[in-house]
Amino acid sequence: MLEIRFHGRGGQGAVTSAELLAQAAIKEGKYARAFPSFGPERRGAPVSAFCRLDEKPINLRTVIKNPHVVVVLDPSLYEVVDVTGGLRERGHLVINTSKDPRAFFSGNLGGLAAVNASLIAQEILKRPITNTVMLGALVRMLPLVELESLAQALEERFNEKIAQKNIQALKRSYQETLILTPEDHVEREGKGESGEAGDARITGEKDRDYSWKELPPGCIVEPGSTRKNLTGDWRSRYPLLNRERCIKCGLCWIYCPDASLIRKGDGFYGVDLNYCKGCGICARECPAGAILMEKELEG
Amino acid sequence: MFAVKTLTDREYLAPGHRGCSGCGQAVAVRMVHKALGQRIVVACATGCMEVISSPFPQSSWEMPWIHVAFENAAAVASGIEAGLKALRHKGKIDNRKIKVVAMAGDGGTADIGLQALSGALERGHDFLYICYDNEAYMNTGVQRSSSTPYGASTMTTPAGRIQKGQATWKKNMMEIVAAHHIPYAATASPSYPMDLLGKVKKGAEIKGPAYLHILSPCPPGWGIEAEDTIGLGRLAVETGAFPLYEQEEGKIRLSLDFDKLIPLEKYLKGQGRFRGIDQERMDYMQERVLEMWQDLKRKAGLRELRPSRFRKEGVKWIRTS
Amino acid sequence: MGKTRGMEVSIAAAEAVKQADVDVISAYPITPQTHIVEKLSEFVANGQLEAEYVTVESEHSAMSLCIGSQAAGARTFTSTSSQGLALMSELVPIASALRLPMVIYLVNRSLSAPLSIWNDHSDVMSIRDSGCIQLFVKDGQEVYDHLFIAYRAAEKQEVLLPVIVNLDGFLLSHTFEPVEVMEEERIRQYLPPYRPLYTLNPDKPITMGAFAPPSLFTEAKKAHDETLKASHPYLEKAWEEWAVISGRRYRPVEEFNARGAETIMITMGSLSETAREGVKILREKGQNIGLLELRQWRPFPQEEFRQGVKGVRRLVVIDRAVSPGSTGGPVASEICSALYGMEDQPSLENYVAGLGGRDVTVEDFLNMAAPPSREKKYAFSIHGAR
Repeated sequence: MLEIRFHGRGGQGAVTSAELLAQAAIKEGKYARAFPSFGPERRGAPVSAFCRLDEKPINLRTVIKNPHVVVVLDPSLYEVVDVTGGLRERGHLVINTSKDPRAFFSGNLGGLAAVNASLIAQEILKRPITNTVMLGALVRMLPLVELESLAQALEERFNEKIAQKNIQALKRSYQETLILTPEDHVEREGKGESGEAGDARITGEKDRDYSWKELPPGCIVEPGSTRKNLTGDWRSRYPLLNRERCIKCGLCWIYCPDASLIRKGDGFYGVDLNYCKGCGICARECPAGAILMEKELEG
Repeated sequence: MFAVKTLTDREYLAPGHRGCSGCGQAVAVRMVHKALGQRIVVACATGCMEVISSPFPQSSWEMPWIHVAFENAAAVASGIEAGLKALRHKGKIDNRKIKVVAMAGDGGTADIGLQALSGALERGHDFLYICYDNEAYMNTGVQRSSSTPYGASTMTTPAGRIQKGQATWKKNMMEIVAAHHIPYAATASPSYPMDLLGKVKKGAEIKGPAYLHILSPCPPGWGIEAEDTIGLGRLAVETGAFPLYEQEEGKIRLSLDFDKLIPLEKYLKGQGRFRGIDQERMDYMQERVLEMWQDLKRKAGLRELRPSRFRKEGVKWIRTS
Repeated sequence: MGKTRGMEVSIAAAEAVKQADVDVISAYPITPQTHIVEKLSEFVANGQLEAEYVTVESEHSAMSLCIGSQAAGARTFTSTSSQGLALMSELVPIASALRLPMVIYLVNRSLSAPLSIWNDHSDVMSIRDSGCIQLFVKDGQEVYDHLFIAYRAAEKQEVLLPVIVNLDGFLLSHTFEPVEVMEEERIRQYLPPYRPLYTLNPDKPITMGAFAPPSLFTEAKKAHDETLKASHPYLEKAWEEWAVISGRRYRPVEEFNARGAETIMITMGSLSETAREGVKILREKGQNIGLLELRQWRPFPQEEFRQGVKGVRRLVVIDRAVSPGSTGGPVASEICSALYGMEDQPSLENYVAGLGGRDVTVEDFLNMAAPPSREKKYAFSIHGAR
């Protein structure tokens, strides 16, 4: 049995990726199961989805802790989620990047597939939805299913126009994917394990280790304690404030859903990147055009 | 527009909540609580706001806050109000005012919670009820409610080959509330912060039940970009789809009047949920929105719109009340 | 001591609520509970009770209101029956999980359909697993006494759970009988003002009703289970203290001629009285029979129960509710599991009797207690069904 974990952001279609892969496998007479992880996190938040593939019937209905393959849909996730956490020794990683993929290779990987999925999605689908694009990269590295089966799954799932565009994106990604194997890999200096920084920042995990005796009566909660949950992780772009144009009107501050604009002593505003989810309302509503949304740098 | 600078820096909805990027309801809730301050108790219905703000062991709320179930925010608030009143009477707590606030979405208000709301309004509890209307069951993944606008596609009113989205007109909660003859009711929008804050303050100061209906644009549910939440909220008002007004002692007062409305099409075109809506439906909606706007103006004692009722551009910035 | 007067049991119940100085009452009419809240409204209207009396628009709102009021720190009371409890049932487990020590008089009545306003225990059995303390009483005096006992135990900071006091509809609620009403002074001594552990208070804000992720839900349920079980000694203590001021001593499992008996009948609620008469007659006829009355249904008094049936050869368990499709009534199922692993297990005959107001007479008890023609380890039947 092969176990795959997809990382994306809420709304990017990680669950659809897992389901399309499963559908393609089922079409080929294989056995497959796809399932999401459920939580309170919403659009933009890091989420994961899972897929199990096998030649035999699958009887497991448990969370996948040690996947063989990890697929990362969004480049901004590498810094905030421990994407390779639990990945098996010699496991495979599929990433969306515009950079030199060698930077993402670590010694115990069995293989790495890299594609600039964001670019392909933007050019063909006109939207930053990278889920089908990443499947092209996945099957390029590991021939789990035929490209044609994936295309059929897409045709069944979407209307013709959308399906054809996705198939086009899938095929282009298949062509443009770069594969790195351990043999290609050159050890780079100073690059630590990718897991460590990610671990500490994974949302709320540290808070969840209560025994029943420690629970307060009625499970009451201290006020304002979500401040421990740094939603800056969700952001793929951030507001850049131009002091020269700012008229200190405060609209950015009042319109922020995440209380992430902070009023300063001199009347200007600053951004609290711990919480800013990068929605862009501030930039859109600024009457002076003093705010620009900049893409988060990857890696 | 510089008036927002006079508002408190205190945040009563702490950041770190799990709301969507660009959540219109989160913007509204932040504003509402800046107006309400600390001396309140909140009863919250099940829904998006509850789920994104209170995963044990964390909470975004800085004031005493309780969630019990979906359909009973008004009844729980009634209980809090009755409890505080009794304790105050018996000298068990001091006499300082504590305002009781109930909050729910459109499903928790117009559908499953309607009975509890009606009961609480009729009994005359001293509380403020706030409906954050994002026009569908967003917490469960966008299913229609009785507050979903006509023509909108949701997961249970999809735009199919035969049926095209929601087939019924949005339930008018303000009229239902008005039938209870409560002292104060108003509609508000986070796109008009000072207007919203003024109404919240008024609702909180009035003795007896007050009702606020706040349109809260929802990026995933409405099919809009996160950054467009506030702009869409403004368009809803300027097209007449969601007029801002107050009902006080049986009188209606428009909070924001326009000589001309922006064509509804401009509001609908920006939203994925209205994608593919045909001209016939668009015309029907336009006509009905106009009728309702004219009706509202009559009730407010204002002159109706003239035949040349549309204008091309919106008012650029908000008028503060 | 107090004064003994003849009164309808519902009125005695209302009298107790008044004397307990509750702060908030939520009221919705349903037969056969209605007399209790009617009398309470009279007390409030006449200034005999200083409380917020809220006439809600449904039982769902009645329980929601109790949750809000109790969470605000007020001593809260409500009362209901049958369909009313069914409508509340979404919220009863929430009240207990939020640890809100309200007291509920449940005037037991059958659940529809067919509609029946008469008595059985199907209503309370439908919320058996709601996590509340559940007690059964058998006469007017017990109804009155248990309101104070319930608040006394519930409000202990180690307990903080709702208590449901079950009294049989009509058979108890509408019967006129002598009840000793205690002096106010004694009640005040026994039941001090409610001091909540936490409340919805702007001076010290808390969040109540957060949701639990899968990593915590099990722990929350475990904590609730342990708390409910740990309420047992506090109930015992409340009964002991009540005995000091009233001279009436209650126990989780009441015994009547049970010591050394070969056969034991087990009953709950008002059946217990008539059953005693049956036991007396059978004793006179030479049958070695006794009676156990289960007063404390939740938490189930495992130790006391096992103690009570030690050495017994035969159990006759009377249920007042059907558990359709099950191997027996809910009480018998509970008892089977309580007996499991015990040495020298007795045989068990389970009768469901008294459904939807069907009279259960002394003769019925004599018939049910009569030794079976053929001894079986387990038997179940719905008594008297034609």
